[in-house]
Amino acid sequence: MRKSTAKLVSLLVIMMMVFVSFAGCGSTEEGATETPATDSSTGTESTESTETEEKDVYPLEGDRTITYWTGGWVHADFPTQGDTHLMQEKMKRTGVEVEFIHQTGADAFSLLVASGDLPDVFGYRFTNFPGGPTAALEQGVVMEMNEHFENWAPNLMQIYADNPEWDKLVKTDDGQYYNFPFIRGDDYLTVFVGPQARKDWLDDLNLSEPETIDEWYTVLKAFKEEKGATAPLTFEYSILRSSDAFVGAYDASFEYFINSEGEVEFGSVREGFRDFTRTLAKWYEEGLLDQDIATVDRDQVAARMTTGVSGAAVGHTGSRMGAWLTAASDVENYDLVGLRYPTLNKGETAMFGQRQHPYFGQGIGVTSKARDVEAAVRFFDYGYGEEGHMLYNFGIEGKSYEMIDGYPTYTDYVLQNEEGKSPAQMLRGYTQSVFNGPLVQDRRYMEQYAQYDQQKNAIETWMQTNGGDHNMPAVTYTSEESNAIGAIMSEIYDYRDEIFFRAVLGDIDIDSEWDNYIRSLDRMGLQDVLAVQQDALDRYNNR
Amino acid sequence: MIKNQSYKVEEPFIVRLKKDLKVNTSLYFIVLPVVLFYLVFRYFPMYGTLIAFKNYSPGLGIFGSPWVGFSHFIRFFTGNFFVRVVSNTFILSFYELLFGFPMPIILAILINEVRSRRYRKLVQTVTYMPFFISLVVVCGMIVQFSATDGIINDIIYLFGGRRVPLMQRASYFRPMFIISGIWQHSGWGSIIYLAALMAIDPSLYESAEIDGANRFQKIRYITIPSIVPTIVIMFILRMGRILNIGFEKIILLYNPSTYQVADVISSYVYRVGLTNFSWSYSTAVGLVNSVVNLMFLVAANKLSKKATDSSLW
Repeated sequence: MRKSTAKLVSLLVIMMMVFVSFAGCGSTEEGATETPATDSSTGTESTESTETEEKDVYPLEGDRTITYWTGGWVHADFPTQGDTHLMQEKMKRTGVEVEFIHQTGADAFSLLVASGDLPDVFGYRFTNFPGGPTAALEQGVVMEMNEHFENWAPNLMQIYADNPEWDKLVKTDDGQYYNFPFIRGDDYLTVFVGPQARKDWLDDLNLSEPETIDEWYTVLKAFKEEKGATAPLTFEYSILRSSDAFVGAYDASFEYFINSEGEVEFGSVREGFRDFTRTLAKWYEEGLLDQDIATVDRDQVAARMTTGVSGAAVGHTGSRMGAWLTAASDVENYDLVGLRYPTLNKGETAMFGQRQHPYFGQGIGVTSKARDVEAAVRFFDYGYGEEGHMLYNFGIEGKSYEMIDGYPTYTDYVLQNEEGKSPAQMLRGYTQSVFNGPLVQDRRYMEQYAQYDQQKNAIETWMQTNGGDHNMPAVTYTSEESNAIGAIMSEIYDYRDEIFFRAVLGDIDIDSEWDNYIRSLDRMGLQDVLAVQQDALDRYNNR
Repeated sequence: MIKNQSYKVEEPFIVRLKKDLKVNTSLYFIVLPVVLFYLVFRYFPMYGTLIAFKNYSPGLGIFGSPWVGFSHFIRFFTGNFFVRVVSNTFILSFYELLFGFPMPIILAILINEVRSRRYRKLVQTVTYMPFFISLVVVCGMIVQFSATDGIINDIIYLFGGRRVPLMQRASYFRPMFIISGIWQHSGWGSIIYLAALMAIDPSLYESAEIDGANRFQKIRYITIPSIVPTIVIMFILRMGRILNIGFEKIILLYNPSTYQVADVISSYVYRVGLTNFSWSYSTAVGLVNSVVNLMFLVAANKLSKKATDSSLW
């Protein structure tokens, strides 16, 4: 008897310990959430701060921390973004301690929001949120910033005042601000994807740079027959889709767009889309298009482009063209050239081509659960001021850049690193201009990031499309609208992709399938989607 | 430790429980953490299923979100892809059962027959290995190997065949999926059967040998009948997952040209539901999936009870 009671007691003790340790966890966390809450009330004192006082504001006093959720982060030198020189420096200057949370995956943000366990701030493409910014505001995922911007974001408000066209883009239809936007500060920066081909091959074969679809056919055929390319043209489908290369020649596209009457249309139901699909099917059949076109990924395309398997591709200035030029630097005469978005007839300009709006929905939002709103706003607003702009775009003076004749020039330490680290890798440690950050991207960044003349020329070449006239801006939907069309839109895209690929791969014939395709899209609710998009666009135009 | 106690049958459950609590107190304490675990982590989260009948909005929370009745279910059942995803799920599942289920059994029997200890160990290690490779890596390998310049096509080409982009042909998707599944799982799955084989009384084999039975006869009349109960239990459990085709492998392997055969319920839920933030809709479809699974489990159990006397409950 005595023995068993002893056992029982010890068991109870163990269980109590377990429970106590759980309870301990709970209480510390609560403590952590409670204390900083007081900070936000102190905000009133700095309400009257103006730009001239900016210097005095930073670094903020006291223990200011925010948690910052972003998507994936992969870097050889820095385990989290918070470890980068840029963030370390910014934390020091602003006096705000930032704890980064990185999660990768298409569903990461969806799961974060569904869990309700929101961080203080997060980086996201707001137009991807169902219902867009409006719904995010309604659901409390993000906080309305108008008043906070008035109080604590003099730099950003100054930028909006100076650039009314940006101001229009970054608001909801009701005039609410909801994030710290990533803005492409120059037209030059909005174009960064396009067709490109092996210049050395073109020269060898005495071919001029192809401009029309027919010339492309000749070139690809020559690449195949004369140069032994087994996959003359290759690309990642996602890039073709977002750039509308080739399809633009047929006055069709992969996206919703604004036609010349100002109406929203879906580019993949235009007659031209059928012709485009037929052309690609022909190219595939004749072995001019990569036989693995539905599955090739970035690495495979890179391998093909640098080893002579492919001679032409569609891709980005930096991560594709620049990377391939570097990777193939030991290949004799290897050279790439950016080519015009092809057209049907010589001298025309393609109706579509990759071109982004200065603001396309990407930015940093402050959640309704944010504990220290002032710290968050001050931290990000710094990036839109003079000093912050330089820090975000060029890094730390004397380390990652020098001012030479008033031009911020990246140092060799960054661009030609002795340890062989790529400029992209180095720049991501010192700047955030290369990818979606809370900043106004500086043209001078791209002028240097595009190290090769080929890249600079490519951008100029790719700018020659009418894509900019047709792009949908970052319109916002109401919650009802997005509930109604969210799933339909994704089903429509999926179905379009399916038919497109099956036709290109020769599984079906696009001409016999076309009527059925159009009917099916209508049955799925394409007209409803168009109506909603039109409403949203009208509201946008009335902002 | 276990103290048997005879009860009068008429005594109500509560009274019996009270008595038993007194007698076997420490046993109840031992089981308590497990019960708690199930309550907290398995039963409590079930209230989240409520959102299948609501329009879930994170700002309003599970209880605050408005009720919408069965509208999400109706949307799924009347949707454009309902027939396709459900039939794809059943077909893929059926093939997996047909070809995938017997493989571990065959493998276990074969391994059991191997006489050389060393060779046997080698075979086991080699067949278990794929199970430990991350799915993402496995699928990456499959995609790379099956590309036109991949190793599979190199072999086909070597024997005079034409290079075919295997993952882009709808007709090859199911075989690729099933075969790679067998490669991944049969080794690992054979472990439980090997354990069952170990338990067979060697004297059975000895007497069969005296009776002049050859190897095949021994397999047929001793080995297989001895592991039938294990097979049945495994089969019932498998039936409970009939619609659970892992979406991870599907979404890592499919592309638009194979949607028509590859898109199953779970991948559809992931693509249309989760990545589109349609939590309520995904929950509704997921619930349908679970209910069907449960029905299959119960049916299989009933059937096996009738046919073989072995069942889960």
